[in-house]
Amino acid sequence: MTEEIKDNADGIHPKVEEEPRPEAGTEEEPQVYSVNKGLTGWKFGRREFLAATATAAAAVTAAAMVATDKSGEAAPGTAAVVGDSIMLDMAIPVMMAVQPAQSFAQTWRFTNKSEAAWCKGATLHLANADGYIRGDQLQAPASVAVPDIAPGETVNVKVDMVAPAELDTYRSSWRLQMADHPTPVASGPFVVLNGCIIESDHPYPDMSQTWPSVINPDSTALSTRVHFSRLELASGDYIVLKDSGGQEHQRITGSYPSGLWSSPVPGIEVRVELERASSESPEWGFCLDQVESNRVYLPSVFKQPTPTPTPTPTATPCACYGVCSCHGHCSCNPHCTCDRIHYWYPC
Amino acid sequence: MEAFAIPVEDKFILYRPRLQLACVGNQAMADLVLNLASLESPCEASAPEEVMAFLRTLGFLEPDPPPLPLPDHTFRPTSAVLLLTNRCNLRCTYCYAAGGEGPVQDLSLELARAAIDTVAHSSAELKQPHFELTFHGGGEPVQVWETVQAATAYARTKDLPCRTSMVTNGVWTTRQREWILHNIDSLSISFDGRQETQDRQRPSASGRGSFKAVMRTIRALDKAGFSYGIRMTATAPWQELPEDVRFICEETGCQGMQAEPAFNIRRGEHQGPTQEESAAFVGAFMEAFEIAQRAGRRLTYSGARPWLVASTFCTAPYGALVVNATGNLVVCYEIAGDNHPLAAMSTVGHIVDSQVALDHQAREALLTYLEEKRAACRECFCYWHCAGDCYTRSFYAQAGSRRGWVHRGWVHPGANPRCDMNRQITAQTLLWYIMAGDGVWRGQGMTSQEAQLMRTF
Repeated sequence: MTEEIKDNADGIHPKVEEEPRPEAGTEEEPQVYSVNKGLTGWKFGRREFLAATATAAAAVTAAAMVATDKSGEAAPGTAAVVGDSIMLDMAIPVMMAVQPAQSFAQTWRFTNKSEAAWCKGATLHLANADGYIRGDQLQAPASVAVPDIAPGETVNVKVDMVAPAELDTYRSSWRLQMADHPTPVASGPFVVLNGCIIESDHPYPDMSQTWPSVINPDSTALSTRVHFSRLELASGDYIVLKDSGGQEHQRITGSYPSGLWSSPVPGIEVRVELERASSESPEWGFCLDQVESNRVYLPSVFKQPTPTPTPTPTATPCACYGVCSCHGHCSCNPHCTCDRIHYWYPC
Repeated sequence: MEAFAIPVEDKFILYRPRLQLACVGNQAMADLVLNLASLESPCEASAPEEVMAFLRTLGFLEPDPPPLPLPDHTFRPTSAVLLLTNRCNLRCTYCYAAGGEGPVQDLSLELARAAIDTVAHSSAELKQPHFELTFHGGGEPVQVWETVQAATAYARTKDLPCRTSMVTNGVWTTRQREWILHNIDSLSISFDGRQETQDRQRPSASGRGSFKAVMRTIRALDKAGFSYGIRMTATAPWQELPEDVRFICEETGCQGMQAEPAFNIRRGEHQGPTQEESAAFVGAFMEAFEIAQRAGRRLTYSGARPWLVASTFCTAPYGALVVNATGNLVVCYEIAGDNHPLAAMSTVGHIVDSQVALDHQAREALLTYLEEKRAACRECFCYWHCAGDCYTRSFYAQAGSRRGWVHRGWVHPGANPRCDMNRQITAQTLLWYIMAGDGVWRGQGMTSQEAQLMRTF
């Protein structure tokens, strides 16, 4: 039957045309097909009904397991609309600085937030294995099994790696691959391996400067320390360390040719600013080369770094951490639980 | 029960758009499914029991969910979109607004504040957890830096928290970058990919390339762990799009890209595609889509979004107060100035003496037009996804074209090329998802939150 579409404000009266009937399939019985992508286009493979029914039943079971999204709210529409990519709360390390030839490990944390067991026969595999993404294997195995996860359970999957001997920046991309879901759903960590995570020019320019935040890859850290392999400032100039909300936690002045550790900064983000207040010529500057997690954040344990000269600590621990833009209320927890881009502002 | 059988080669995609369910069947299965859809009850159907069992197990015979409510016409915006200026430091070859040319027009801080006041007030009345402030425009928002900072600071003084976002070309100074990293919650960066593409399509005002500056920004965003989207514009030769997407996948941490075609060959113009151009873009987009999928990234095109069931193409005409640099209230982000050909029908008020003056009659006329436009798409399988499509982008494609004829929900080529493009990409995307879902698509591809975000930029 041919249908005529009524005219509307932006169209022109259509004419009734003879219907171009698509070519019919060769089979007379109703049938469904698997789909594959070949070099020359789509390929359809005939499937037996019983097998198709079994697969469909399994898919329904899987869909029922993933009916909540990250926020824990039921997804709109049907129980089947949520993809595997958000079934798990998957913590992915984003940056790590290590020394040449150093052994280290990256850990992915998976939490099953649904009410059903997660049984996917999944693996974490190097993303460059399929030839689409460049990546560095860093002596890691090509894939690591991810165990089945009970409801509410958290599982850590550790991958051991070894940094190459040559100083450079390397990237190792990883993806989560599920047995029943051919499309991979995750990317992996960035590994920074250049001796300095951030550094100034040497000497630093005659102006104040800021750098991109240093992010502690350990998202469970309550506070973060950073290490300067070398720090040399002109008298009067100083380094300011701030948290993710922009609150200042430490000022460092003077010279430390053999390096120093900073005081802990709450949270996993440390902002580094170099304030140029001196009229003297700029000195060498700094190289920030390590990040360390602190599991317990106790403002009272802020101590001045050693050795001398003594920097001026200006840690000003507040009663509450700040107000996250997601929640809009003052919180003592420096880790916002929302999964959106957010910022902090003072209580 | 709303079901479609979309022809692909000699097979059909069996499609329940509102259930977000799809698989591939033959002619007999397509006939059966369409017959079932026309029955009062599936129990009336006569088909082999194993076939019915399969469809039942699949959930294909489930009733459609309740109809989506039509959008409320009451003007209670929760998002202020400021089209700040027509100044621009780039001279993109396809810029519909001819940004950077003509007399300078900047939105005053006074008008920006009035827009923020209105949106903060109505958001509080609606008991929203926050309100939105977006910097957009026919020019580059960062060119009026003081206004961006002052408007953001002003929005932060409101009792209700404010979420900020910006659509930008990414050519920033170091200080601007640092400020944006700490003050803007969501970013969409216009970036076209490899150096040869970016420098050719998006040169600076002096004619130099912008690639290096934008890549500096992107690398800084990646290093800071800042999540952002990339908005790509594709032009002929279309086969470059896949390589540009591959470049972004390999060289940036961007998780979500949106690619839109531009068919105008001169700045300041709008032009719809020919059938040949439409087909060429579809081919290039799907090749790029596959590259992005295999890289674990998302590539979208605004007219094809099967993972979204919506009653409107975008939220701007309903939930946003969009004010351009002339102080006019408009219903589309593209109406940056009065020189836009659709400016007259898209202007629904203005801000005067710090007060928002809404032209209810003009707004109602526009909303009615959008609903009538969508109603004409009722037989199309994309009806619930593009929801009538973007009226500004489809306007030029529709001019002078026939609407085609419908068979099984597919409006056959000969209809307007923009719709054809939307349908082709939707169908091809569905096939990809069916393949990824081992023969069945169940809505995978984007989370509900991400899908809703697609309607705001």
